Amino acid sequence: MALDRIGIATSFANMLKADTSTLYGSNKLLQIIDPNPVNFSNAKVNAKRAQYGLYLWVNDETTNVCRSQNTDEIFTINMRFEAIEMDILAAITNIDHAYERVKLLANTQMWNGLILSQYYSDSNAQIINIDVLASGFPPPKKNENSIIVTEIESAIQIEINRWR
Amino acid sequence: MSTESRKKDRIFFSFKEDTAGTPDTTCFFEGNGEMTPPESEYQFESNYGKLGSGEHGKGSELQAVWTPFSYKCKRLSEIAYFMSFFQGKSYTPGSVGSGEQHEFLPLPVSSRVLPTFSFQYGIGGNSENIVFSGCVINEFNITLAAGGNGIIDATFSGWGNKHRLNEGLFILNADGSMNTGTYDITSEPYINFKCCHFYKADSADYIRENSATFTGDNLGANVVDISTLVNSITMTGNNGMTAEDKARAGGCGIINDWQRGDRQYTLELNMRKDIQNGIVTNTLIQTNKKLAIECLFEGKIIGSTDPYAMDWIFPVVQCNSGAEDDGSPISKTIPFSVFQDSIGIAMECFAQTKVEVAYNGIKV
Repeated sequence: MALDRIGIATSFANMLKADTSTLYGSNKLLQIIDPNPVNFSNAKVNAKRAQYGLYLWVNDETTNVCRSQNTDEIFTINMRFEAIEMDILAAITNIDHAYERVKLLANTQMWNGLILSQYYSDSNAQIINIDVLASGFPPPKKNENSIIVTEIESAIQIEINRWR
Repeated sequence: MSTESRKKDRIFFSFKEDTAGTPDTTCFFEGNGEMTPPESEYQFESNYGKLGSGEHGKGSELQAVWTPFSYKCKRLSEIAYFMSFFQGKSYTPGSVGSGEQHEFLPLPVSSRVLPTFSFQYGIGGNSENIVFSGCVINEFNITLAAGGNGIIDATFSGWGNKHRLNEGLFILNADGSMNTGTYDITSEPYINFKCCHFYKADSADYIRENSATFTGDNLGANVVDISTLVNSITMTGNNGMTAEDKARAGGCGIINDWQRGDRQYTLELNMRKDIQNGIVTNTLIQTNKKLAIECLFEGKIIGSTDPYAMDWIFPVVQCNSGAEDDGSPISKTIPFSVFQDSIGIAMECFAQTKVEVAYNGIKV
């Protein structure tokens, strides 16, 4: 999987999905981790069943440094943690824990130096840094289907080095 | 207006010159960092009574020519490569698992002639490329700091010969074509502050050839991991040379002396105070007390268990700053005096990379 926009979002999502001990699974913090923004915008849920999802997509891309043979490019992954849950306090607690877990995974990946490398394969680029950016937690609100949606919006910055 | 991008220019480094000052035609690896385009510097000497003046043709006052350069490393192997040339003494790398270990020790007092290397600047494999031979590393400056993207700033600088004298004329080195790089270092990691550990101890015990490990500390008694308290660390080294001195008379005006002077290192830490837990720098790094410092980078895994690694050890340093304000500020900059240990080593350096990059590394 090349390190382009969808490749970065997908490999990051796959890394999160691999954390089946805490983050991802039927009885875990999140049931959906999806790098598809269409799913995000048209999420169809059953209000009777609590459901937690993370939707992510690559929003921004900038070239940070351009050298004679290689460039550093920064991609920003926007993340939206979504809870369809009538119990607002449970929803808040759950997606906040999910967010903290994602932060931990991102930082741990960097610290160990594994750097997501098992989730992508690109002969001309590698991830060199992951930074967790700020998060926002607006008050829960009803969506167009009168379902209460609790959400956290956040972003993670991924810097890659690309060479000839 | 030129229609050619500077992106065409590439850098190729040789691994060792068989004869000092004679350019290698065998490339070792292609650089991936940033180099200031080398420009020649000329020194004129009008004193005809001075030894060496007027040697270069009739009435010539040209005394010397050299080419300073500065290279900002981006890859771990590049840092290890230049560090081996700065230190001057490098051991034949040993293999461990899928990695290669390197030890960079300073030259002994009895032998001060630094190794030289060549590099080529141009589009690669082309006779029009410019080869700089007889290059020495005189200085390095490495800063690891939190914030930003955490990638370290490592710059090495020195000079070499761009020109060769031929019957009173200065011409470019004729051989401008190195082979393409043998080692591909493009997928190697950057050194990132997030992957660095800092230790202090009372002393460094027997940190010598082949004794370093590349995970965890390598220091002696009472090791304390101070990684979380370090905001930044800056280290510099200087081999005590000047190009003016090295481009001596009698050498046809080119660099012909690769003896280093008295080497000097500096080390500076910026420490975060942890007042809540009672950790202040005065108790952690006591003024006027000698200690050992280690900075260890552990990167991604080369093979099964071997990480890319870089390890700097200062066996004897001493904090000289005065008393601190325990309440404020929240951080403190601590300059150290760097001393030699009992066998004359002020800084030891170890690396573990996928390829053999020391100056006497085996080219395969």
